[in-house]
Amino acid sequence: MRDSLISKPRRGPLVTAGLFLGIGLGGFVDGILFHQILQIHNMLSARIPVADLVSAKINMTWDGYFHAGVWVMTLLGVWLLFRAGTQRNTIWSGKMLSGAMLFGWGLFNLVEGLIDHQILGIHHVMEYAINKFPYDLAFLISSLILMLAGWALIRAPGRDSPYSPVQP
Amino acid sequence: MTNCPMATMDSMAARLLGLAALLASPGAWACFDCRKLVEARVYGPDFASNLLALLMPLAVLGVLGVLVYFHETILDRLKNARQLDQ
Repeated sequence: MRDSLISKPRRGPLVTAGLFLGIGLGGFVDGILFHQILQIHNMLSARIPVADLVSAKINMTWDGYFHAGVWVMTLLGVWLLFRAGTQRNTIWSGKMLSGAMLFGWGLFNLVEGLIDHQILGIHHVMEYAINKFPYDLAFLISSLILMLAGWALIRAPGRDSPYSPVQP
Repeated sequence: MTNCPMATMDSMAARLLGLAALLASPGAWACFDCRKLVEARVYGPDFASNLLALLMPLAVLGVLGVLVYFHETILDRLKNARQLDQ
């Protein structure tokens, strides 16, 4: 059984690497675009509303902890990608990797949107709006679109090399 | 054109003082004033609960990632176990 597991072509290693890279880089898109450039969606903005310099700096600190977390996810993705490249039975496809990254990005937004916005309520996409739900809903819908696009790419037949670049 | 070294030094000192005055604006002082407040509120009694709340989505995603990584192995093992039972 062990031999069959080793020699059988596997999608898992590359898909998982792409998934973690997508989660990590998706987190950075969230942090850079929303938190820093647009100055919305800060980590604890529902608990500590951004009303003055002190509250802005408190949210900035928590944004930093969030960035540290997604940095770890990205590092894990790079390590998994390296490992996938060294395994001979890994199916090697750029389309599959980019699909997994898109899926990971969408999955990150979905999980973050459900847990942080809906369940815990620690922040919302647009804290300054009177009705926050439409923005939160748009965030969840966009995450589903990203996941669907990623899934389609993962399943799409490609012309890439069937196995990892490492030759026996 | 004057080459008096004192005049050159005075001009340079005036420029440096101007730059130093820019650094000492109220905006820069504000950080010294609020730093202790920020640290006290971030690393206060709510620190652990805030950190847990913040890291929860990443923990869930990590578990999902581990399941995806091992799903082929788990499915193969389940399939083989079923075949052995039959």
